[in-house]
Amino acid sequence: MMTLLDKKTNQIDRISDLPSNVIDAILGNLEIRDQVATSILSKKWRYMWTSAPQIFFDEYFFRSLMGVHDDVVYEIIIGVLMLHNGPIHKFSIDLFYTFDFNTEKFNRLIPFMSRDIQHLELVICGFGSVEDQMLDNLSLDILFSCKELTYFKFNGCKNLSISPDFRGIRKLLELDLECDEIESSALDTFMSGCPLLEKLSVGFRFGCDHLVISSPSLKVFVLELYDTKSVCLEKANNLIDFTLKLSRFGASVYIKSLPQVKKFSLTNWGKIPLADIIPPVLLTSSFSSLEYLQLDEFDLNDKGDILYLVRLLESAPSLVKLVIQDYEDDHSTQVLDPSEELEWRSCCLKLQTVEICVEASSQHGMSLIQFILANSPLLKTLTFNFCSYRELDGPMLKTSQDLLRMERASPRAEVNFIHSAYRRRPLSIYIE
Amino acid sequence: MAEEVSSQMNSLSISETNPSSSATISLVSGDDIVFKVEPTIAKEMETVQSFIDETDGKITTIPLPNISSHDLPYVIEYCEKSIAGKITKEFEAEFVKKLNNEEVKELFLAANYLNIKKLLDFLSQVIADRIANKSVEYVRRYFGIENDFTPEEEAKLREELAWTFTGVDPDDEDEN
Repeated sequence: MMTLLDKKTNQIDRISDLPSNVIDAILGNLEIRDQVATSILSKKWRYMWTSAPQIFFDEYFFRSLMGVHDDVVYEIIIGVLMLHNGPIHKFSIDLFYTFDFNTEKFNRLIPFMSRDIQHLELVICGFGSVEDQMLDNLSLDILFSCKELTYFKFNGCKNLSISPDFRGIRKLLELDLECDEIESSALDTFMSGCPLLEKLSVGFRFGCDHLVISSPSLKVFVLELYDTKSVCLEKANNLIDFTLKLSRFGASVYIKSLPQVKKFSLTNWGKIPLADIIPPVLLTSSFSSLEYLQLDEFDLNDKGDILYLVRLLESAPSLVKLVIQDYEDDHSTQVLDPSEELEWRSCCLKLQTVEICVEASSQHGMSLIQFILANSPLLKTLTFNFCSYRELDGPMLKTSQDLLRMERASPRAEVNFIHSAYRRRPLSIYIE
Repeated sequence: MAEEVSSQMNSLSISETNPSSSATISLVSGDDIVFKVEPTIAKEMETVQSFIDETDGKITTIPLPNISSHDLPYVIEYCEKSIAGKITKEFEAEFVKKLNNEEVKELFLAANYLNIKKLLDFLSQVIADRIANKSVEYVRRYFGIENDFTPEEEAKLREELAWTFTGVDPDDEDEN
C-alpha cells in the first residue's frame, strides 16, 4: 500500500482515473471554455468533457470572445455541440442584445439536444427593448421534439406562435416567456399540451386582448401585460400565486375571474384605479383564502385606491402579510387637510406582518396605517420604510411621531421605522 | 495537527465489538490511526454505513486504507457540521481557506471513496474554482497529469481549440 510519505513526495495523478460522473461534477462547475480546454490535458481527458450533462454559454463565454465576429462565435457554439457526445440535460445561452442571432440560428441548435434536454434557456441580456429582440418569430412547435423538457425560458422574439395541431410537451413544469406579440390562443393551446405545467411567467405587448388561461395544473402565474384588456383565470382552478405587472403606458386591464389564490401581487405602473383591475365581484369570489398581498407602485395619495384597498383587506379574512411599495413619483409631502380625513368602520384583520415603503409621507397613507394598526389584533411587526435621498428630517420626524401615537389593537405589535436613501425594489416577487 | 488528533486517538488495537462500545464507530486511517466517531457521523459516509449495515452492526471498526490521518479529521469535521445543519457559506469559506491544493484533491478523493455527496459537491466546486481560467499547463500540474500527446497531436488540438485560450490567467508557479 502506498504510504503517506509516497503520496506527499510524488504527485500521482489519481483524479484522472476517477469515474466519469465524478469528473463531471468538477467539469459541471467550470465555464464552458475551461471545460472544453480540458481536452488538451491528456488522451484520457480528450473526450471527458463531452459527456458533461450541462452546457452553459454565459456572459463570460461571450465576454472572453469579445472582438470575435458573431458568426465565428456562433460556429464555436455549434462546434461545441457537435463535439459533445452524450445527453445534454441543461443548456443555456445568455446572449448580449447586439449579438447577430436569428430564428434559423436558434432552430439549428435544437436538434443537438432535443432528445434529452430538460432545462433550456435562451436569455437576451443588456438593454432589451422590444426592438432588440432578435428573432422575428418563433414557433413553439420546435420544442415538440424535446420530450424530456421540464423548464423553458426564452425572451428574445417579436412574435410567438404555435400551430393548432401542437401535440405538447408532456413533462414541462415551468415556462418563462417574453415576447412582443403573441397569438391570442397560443398560450392556451400550448398549455393544453403541457399537462404538468405548474409555473408560468409570461410577458408580452400585443396580440391578446382577452387572455384566457385554463390550465388546471398551473400553480404560480406571473403575467406582465401592456395592451391586454381582460384576464380570465377561472379555470386555472389550482392557481395559488398570481402576480400581475402592468406597464406604465399600457392599457387598463381588469381581472375578469380568478380562482381562490393564496398569494396575489400587483405592480401598477399604469396608475390604473385598483377597482378597475380588481372589480368588486372578485373581492367576494377570490380572496377568501388570500394569505399574502403585495402592491407595488401603489399610489398612497389616491383616496379611491386606499378606500378600495380597505375593502379588499376586509374581504381577505386569511391575510397575514401585506407589502406595499409607494408609487415612484416626485410628489412632495402633502399638506394636511382635515376635511379629507378618511373614515373607517372597525373590523378584525388577521394581519401579522405589514411592510410599507414610501418616498414621501401622505395623509391617506397614514390613515391606512392607522386603520391597520387599530384593526389587526394579531399584528407582530409593521415596518415603515421611508426611502428618500432627499433630506426630509422634518416630515420624517413627524411621520415617525404619528406612527408612535397610533392606537394599536395588538399589544405585542412592533413598529419599525427605517430610513434608507435608496429605494430597494424587491428582486424577487416571491418573498417568503 | 498530530496533537489535535491525539485526543481522538484510541489504541491501535482493533477492539472486539461489545454492546457497550457499539455506540461509537472506529474509523482506522491508512496510517493506522483510530478515530472514534458517533454513528450519526458514519451515516453521512455512505461507504462506511453500508459496511456497518452489511454486517448487521456487528463490526464497528472500519479500516479506511485510502484515507490518511491527516485528511480524515477534515472529513469528520465537515460531516459533523453537516448533521448539525451548520454548513454555511462562511463555514465553507473558512474550511477551504485551511486547505492547500494537494489537500483539496486528497479530500475530494476521500469524499468520493466514502461517498459523501455534499462534501463531494462542495469540493467539486472548490477544484473548479481553483482551475478556472488557468492555462492547460497549470491544470496539468494541478492534477499531476502526464501529457501523453505527441507534440504534433497537441499542436493540432490547440489550433482547433484556440478560442479556449483567450485571456487565461498567467501561470503562477508559487500557487501550488
